[in-house]
Amino acid sequence: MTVAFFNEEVILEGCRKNDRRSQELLYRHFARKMYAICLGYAGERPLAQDILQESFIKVFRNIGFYKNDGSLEGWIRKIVTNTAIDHIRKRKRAKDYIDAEMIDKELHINNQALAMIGFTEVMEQVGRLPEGARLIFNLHALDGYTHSEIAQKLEITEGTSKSQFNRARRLLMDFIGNMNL
Amino acid sequence: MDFLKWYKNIVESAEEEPPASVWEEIQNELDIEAVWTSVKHGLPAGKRTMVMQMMAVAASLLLIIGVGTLLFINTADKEPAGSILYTEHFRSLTDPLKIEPVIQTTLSAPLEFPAVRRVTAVAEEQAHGIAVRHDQAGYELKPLPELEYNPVSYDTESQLADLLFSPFGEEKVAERPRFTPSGYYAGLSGYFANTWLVNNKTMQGLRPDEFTSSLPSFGYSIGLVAGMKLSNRFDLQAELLLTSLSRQNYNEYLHGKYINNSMQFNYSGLSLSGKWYFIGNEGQGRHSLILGAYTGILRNAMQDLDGEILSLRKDYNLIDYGIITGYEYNYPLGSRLSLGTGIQAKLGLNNIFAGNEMIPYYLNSTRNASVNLILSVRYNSR
Repeated sequence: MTVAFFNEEVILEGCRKNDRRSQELLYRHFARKMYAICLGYAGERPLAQDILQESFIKVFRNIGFYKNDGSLEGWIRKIVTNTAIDHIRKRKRAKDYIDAEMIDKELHINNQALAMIGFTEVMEQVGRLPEGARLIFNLHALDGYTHSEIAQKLEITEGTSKSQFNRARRLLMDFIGNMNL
Repeated sequence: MDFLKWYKNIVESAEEEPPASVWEEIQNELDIEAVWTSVKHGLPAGKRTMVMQMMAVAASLLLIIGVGTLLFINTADKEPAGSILYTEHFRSLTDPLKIEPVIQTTLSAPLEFPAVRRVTAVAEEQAHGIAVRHDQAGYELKPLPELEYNPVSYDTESQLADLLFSPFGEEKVAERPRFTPSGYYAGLSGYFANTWLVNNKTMQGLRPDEFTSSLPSFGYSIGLVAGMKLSNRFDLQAELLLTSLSRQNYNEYLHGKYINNSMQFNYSGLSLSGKWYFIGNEGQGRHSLILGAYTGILRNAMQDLDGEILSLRKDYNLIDYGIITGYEYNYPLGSRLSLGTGIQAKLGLNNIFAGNEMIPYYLNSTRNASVNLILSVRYNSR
């Protein structure tokens, strides 16, 4: 569903008053983008849906704290990222990392091949990354967190963050390179 | 092409429609939060404490009625509290036809069996001048201090004969009649009731500025009544409600239009109450106050939502219980029949809402309440 008219001020005011119509408009406006981010972190649809659901509940609960001092989308995106971290850290496989032996060569993928790959295919390959490594990879690649920040957030060493990020990048390239395009 | 830039771009530029169930779940969560917030604001801080206090009061009332009835039955035929009457009588050892004075002794405190034996033995010693220091069981025999000693005269032959054939030295406790109720009654009762589901929704619906309106709703009950007349002023009454119908109607704003929402609960139940007749007499009519407790079993619960009938049975608890209070006037319709009419209020003490997939039980605390007009016919045993 495409929302043709989105007056952020009016909708925010409505959300602050718990107006259901305004909440729905806000959700419809941002849900598709945020769901894509959730899929990147989750690697699977059921978990991505849980993250999206909880994220928007947090958004509506805390909308009163949003002070218009940054973009609304950026504020919601932060909530989505933090919720994804919380969800993944609760899972048993949150500490699944990539061993050095799993990466044996540096791959180079040509631009033409990358241009042919769509979001759904990428998500399928991202979903194959071990959960812990995928989280680190997304935090750095998608949200721009430094390795120091990632180390703090995930209570790991900075070295682990760096090594897992590099291994995840190489493994993902490996997966994508081996796709039958 | 930088792989990381490519990855970031493909994820951030993507848009994928999440399933509709996600928004539905978000709405459900928000609804529950809204109800909870409303309940929290609607309930004063001490409300839960108040409910507990009401339950304590109800339990106390039941206890008072129960214990009071037991005490009434046990003490109705007795001497004033703290006194026990013993009657002692003797036959002369030397002349069987000669009757010694009968000793009637009032003791100011209950005595155990050995002490009674001492009384007997001391009396025997006093009557016959026999020095008895110990009885057969080895109890030391001592005169009891401050015993009332009231000779009683016997002037009828039957009393004399009784005394003559009584064993020597036998203790004879005065026979007392056992408690018997002064009468019983049984009959039919009917109630026309203004019923309410006491919950947050109903309360909000009474406010003029709310979309939902709580409407006056009516039900009825039919039952069998049986009672025991404990005295001229006090009855203990049990009632079996064969059917007890309560309703709550709303005019509800739903999906942009007003619809009728009618909820109906059918219970069967039992009540126990005490009736105190404070004015009047049985021959001319009596006014009574009623206090008691009830319990009901939910037989079915239905909702009529603008013509669509839904079962609410799983959403509501099987058991309801509460307190009863009221007033009744009993008018005689002859020597045995009487007609009762009055007003009675019932208030449920437990939350009858069991919860469902959408709303947990504690967010929609609901109690039954009703104001009933009574009409009963009863047959009195005597």
